[in-house]
Amino acid sequence: MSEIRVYTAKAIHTMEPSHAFGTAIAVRDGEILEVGTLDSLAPWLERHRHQIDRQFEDKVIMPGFIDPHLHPSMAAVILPMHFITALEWQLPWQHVPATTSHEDYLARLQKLASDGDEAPFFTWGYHRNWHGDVTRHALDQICPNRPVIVWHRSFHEVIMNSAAIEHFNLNTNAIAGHPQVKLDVGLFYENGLRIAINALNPIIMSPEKFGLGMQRLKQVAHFGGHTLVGDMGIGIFNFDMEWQAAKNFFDTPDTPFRVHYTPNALALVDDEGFEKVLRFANGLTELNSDKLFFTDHVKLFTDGAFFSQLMMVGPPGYLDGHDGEWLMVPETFEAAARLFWHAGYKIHVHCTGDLGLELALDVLQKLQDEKPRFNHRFTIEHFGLSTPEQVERMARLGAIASANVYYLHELSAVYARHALGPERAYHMARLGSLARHHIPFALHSDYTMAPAQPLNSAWVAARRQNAEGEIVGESELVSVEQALRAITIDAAYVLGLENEIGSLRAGKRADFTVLEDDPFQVGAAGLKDIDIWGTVFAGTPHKIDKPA
Amino acid sequence: MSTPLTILGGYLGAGKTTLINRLLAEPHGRKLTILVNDFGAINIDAGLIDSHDGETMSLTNGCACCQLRDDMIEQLSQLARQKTKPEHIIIEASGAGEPARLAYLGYGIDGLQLESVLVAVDASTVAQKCSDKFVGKLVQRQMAQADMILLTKADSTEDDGAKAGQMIDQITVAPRLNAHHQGLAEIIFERPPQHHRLAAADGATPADDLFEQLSFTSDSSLPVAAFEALLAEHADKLARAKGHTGTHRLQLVGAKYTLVAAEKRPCALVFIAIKGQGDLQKLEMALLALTAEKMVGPAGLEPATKPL
Repeated sequence: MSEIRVYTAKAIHTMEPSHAFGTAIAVRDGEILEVGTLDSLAPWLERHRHQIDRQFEDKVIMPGFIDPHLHPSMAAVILPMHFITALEWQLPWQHVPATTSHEDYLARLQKLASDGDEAPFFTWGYHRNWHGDVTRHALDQICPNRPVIVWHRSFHEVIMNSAAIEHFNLNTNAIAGHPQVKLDVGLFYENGLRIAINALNPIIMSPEKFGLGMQRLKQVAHFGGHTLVGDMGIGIFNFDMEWQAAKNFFDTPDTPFRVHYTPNALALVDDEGFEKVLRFANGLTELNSDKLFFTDHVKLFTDGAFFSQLMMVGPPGYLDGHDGEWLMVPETFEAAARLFWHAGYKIHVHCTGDLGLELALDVLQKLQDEKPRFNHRFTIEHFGLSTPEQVERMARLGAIASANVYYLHELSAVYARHALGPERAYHMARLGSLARHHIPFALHSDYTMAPAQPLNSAWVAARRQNAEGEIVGESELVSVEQALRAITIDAAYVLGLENEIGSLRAGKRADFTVLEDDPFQVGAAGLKDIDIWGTVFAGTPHKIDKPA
Repeated sequence: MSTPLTILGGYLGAGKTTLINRLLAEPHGRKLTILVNDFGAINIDAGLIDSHDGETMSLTNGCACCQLRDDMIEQLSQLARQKTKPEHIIIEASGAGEPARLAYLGYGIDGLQLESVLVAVDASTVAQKCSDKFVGKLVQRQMAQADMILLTKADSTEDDGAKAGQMIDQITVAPRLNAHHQGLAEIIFERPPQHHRLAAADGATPADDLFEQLSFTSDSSLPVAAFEALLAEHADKLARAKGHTGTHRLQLVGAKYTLVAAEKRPCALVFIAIKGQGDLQKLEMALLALTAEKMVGPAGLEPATKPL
């Protein structure tokens, strides 16, 4: 047995109600022995070799943060790009300032693209509501020679300059005639985007770019203070490629976090149906290593993306009368959910709109009637729009939630005006209702849909302040404690890992996040500005290198 | 010469697979390649199968059937580049999807020309599907995007699909065919456009009971702005129109159209209306009166869903 190490701290918040606070924590071989004070740890310290480590004496220790839902593979495509975004982003290698006007957008793009490099320039984060119409012509003015590819914040559109259109051989009559390509303004969207991606794939999926993206995601996860993240849907591009990349980049001694994997059944299904996906999923735990592992979870979908206004919205629908889309139609969703329900899986359902949630709950009701299950952890992922009645139904059916609360911050003002009207836009992510019904919920980033910074998500949950500074939907606020539970113990619960991580008590893994300030003292408004010193992973400190 | 592309849409259970099995096996003489969602559901008499490599099934009649791949654009490009091209490509749209979205893939690929969107509708369930709280709007949109509705399972209704037909007529002006009709393939792939207006039906095929057609050719190009105005006036009475104005390519489906700048060609247009609904004579007179030209952008058959 190794020597015991005792970390002292200004405060240790265990997130264990029965034993909430301490100033010293003893660990050995990656496991917590006990939390208390140096005095109360005496029964351990009198018996065993130990050393006292006082480097966190003036800091605050929390359970290691958990983001149960992000997408390493998608992030690896976006992270090599230059961020030019409407809201500010903290990246481990740089601070990205908010760029909020058309002129500033073009000026910043010109500056970044004039770095002497001639390779195609990719940028992500463009959004019309802030940056106006950025067109091929406008890009040609500032970058006549270097190919420029502007990727929309939602990932659903790209805009290219003339040099890029030439470079990728997109200047054909057939493409010009495509109704979802506007070659005169350089815009490719929806199916038109698929044509563009087809041409761009050799670059964005190249080992160099994708590898850089994976390396950066590793930094991002550590930077946010995570000691475990969930890949909520491996298989989104190609299972084998993604798993191989994960093995190469994450399954290494220098990675200070673990990754829990959930297979994406919709991406994995082929003409042999979901039975084959089930058989495949059943064998996945054989791939497990210490850092990368599968358990008994599966990801399904109901409705479309929230950022693209493709969520299915119940009456009275969208302001402009357009409609969302089903990613799995009711019959397909029900059949797949039934299969995995009867096989005992923990089912995670991507639900963004209230009609999507309605479908998930209708099906859960049927499955409960057929084969009642307790502790089934049927999880509503994203939880964008909902009604109070649906939350009550979730409680009765035993559904839990993993919310992307950042929707509320970034989109509530814009969606109030342009998509849904204020009543529904301001009540995205009804976390207060979940708490009042004692429904466990996690917060997630769906990275890069939101910053992978749990304290930032907790801030939105406990503050409900949107991008324009308004506090919206106050009845859905949650307490600081509730918000912190959602990035620690309740996030562990959503992944079924609450027995080993998520709180600090005897026998759990020695994974902590070390903060410069005490979140319980700074209160809701200060959560997002707390500095993170770093993490302790499996008992070993990993300091965050701050960008210059 | 472009290969014509047909999209076959319709909600889950509408009978698409049954239609595909028929199109593959019936003796219509055309070499079709059909891309399907669910390869496993294709059920062809073993005697007709020439070869089967797990991804492509080749039939002795020259037809072929393949699983639709994730990289559909690349798959279609390959088909369009093949030495021995299929005479006609049919894609089975996902029951969950809007066929108009898939139809857009027909654009942007050299060597392919979108020909038509067919939507299968199950007569026995259409009323229930149209009012379903989850998919009612989707099912109605699918129908609204059709050039032609193929009514299936009418024989399993008490009124041979009459009520279902009335319901469909409220949603779309596209012509409707009972999928049980013999000679389905011929109707789907149309006879070549004729130079003169199709006179009274001879009753030879069910199609003639349904539509009338105007073919218009001219040595000079049509002025686009004026032509658009004319289209706007007639669009809701036309089931279908296509061709070339001299400077632009026209696709009209339901009441909506796309008019896209294209390489210069002699003007040749075909207009199809449900019999008694479109005033093709008036349209023909107006077309004859037109001259000069101007550019317009693409418009028309947008799926109801949209990007941010």
